[in-house]
Amino acid sequence: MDNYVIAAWLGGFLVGWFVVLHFIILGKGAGSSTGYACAINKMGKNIMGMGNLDPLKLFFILGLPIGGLAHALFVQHSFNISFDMGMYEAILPENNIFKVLVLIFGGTLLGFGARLAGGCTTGHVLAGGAVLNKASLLAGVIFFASATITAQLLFRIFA
Amino acid sequence: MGNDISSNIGSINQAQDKSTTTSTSTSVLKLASVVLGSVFGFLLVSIGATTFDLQAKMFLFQDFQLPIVLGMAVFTGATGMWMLARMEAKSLVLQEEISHVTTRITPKLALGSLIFGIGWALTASCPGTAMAMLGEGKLTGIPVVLGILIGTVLFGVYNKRSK
Repeated sequence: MDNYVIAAWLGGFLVGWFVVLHFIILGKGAGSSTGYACAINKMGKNIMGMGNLDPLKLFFILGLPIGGLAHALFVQHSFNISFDMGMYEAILPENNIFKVLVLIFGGTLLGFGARLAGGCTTGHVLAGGAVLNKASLLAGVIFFASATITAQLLFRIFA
Repeated sequence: MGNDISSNIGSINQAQDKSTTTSTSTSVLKLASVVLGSVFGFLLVSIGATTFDLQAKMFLFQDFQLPIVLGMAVFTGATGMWMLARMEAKSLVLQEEISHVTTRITPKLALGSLIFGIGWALTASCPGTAMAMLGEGKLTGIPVVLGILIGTVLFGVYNKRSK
């Protein structure tokens, strides 16, 4: 575990208040996956066939790497370019081309699944959870169960 | 349905033309979104959500950092939202009612969540953390972000056809 990681209770407290702060400032819940749909919409009109996307979500996800960079520079005091995934190297292909393909495939499932479910970990679990939306809480449980079963199988078969 | 998005964006543009006040608040909303995104990206790294080993250990029940963070965040967030509802608070930028919108449980929600979970397990990333990783120099975020964009387009194609 990286030594900069803050205590779980403190992290949960801060993330929880962040979610509330987002509601207070913008009046709506935070969300990450919608930002990708906004980006696609910018590239070509009407290819999404989806309504009522909040255009601000694109600006939200564009801020994410700024925060990641700020953390690397000011907390970790080092900016390292890496392609290593730690324990995950045990189950991903050694060949970098195949590894990239697996990651693209996994990302595709994340993108498709999030749109079909109407949100990702941010929108459903954090923001939907904060307003105790039953559908979001169910989505969160299925996200977690599906990911845990898949990961357990992957580590049993490939590691 | 596809027209909704463009008309949404269109109406914002129109509003910008019509009144400078609306134009200012649109810029404020965009800037606030980037700042909030930055804060969230910083938090995601701080809690270890972009640390691959913590993701792996969560799935293998070896470490409970991330599940505790999520549980604690939902509890804190729910407390805060309950307080806002009682105060009947208005949003800061637009002075609108704060959304407490709930959605319905559908088969699509369940199937989408199942697919999302498999993607989460394969990449140890989510749509939020993959972007934060890019800023940290974790280049595996690039193929994951690319994949999410592909998946989003595929959903668009599927969604248009099924209508």
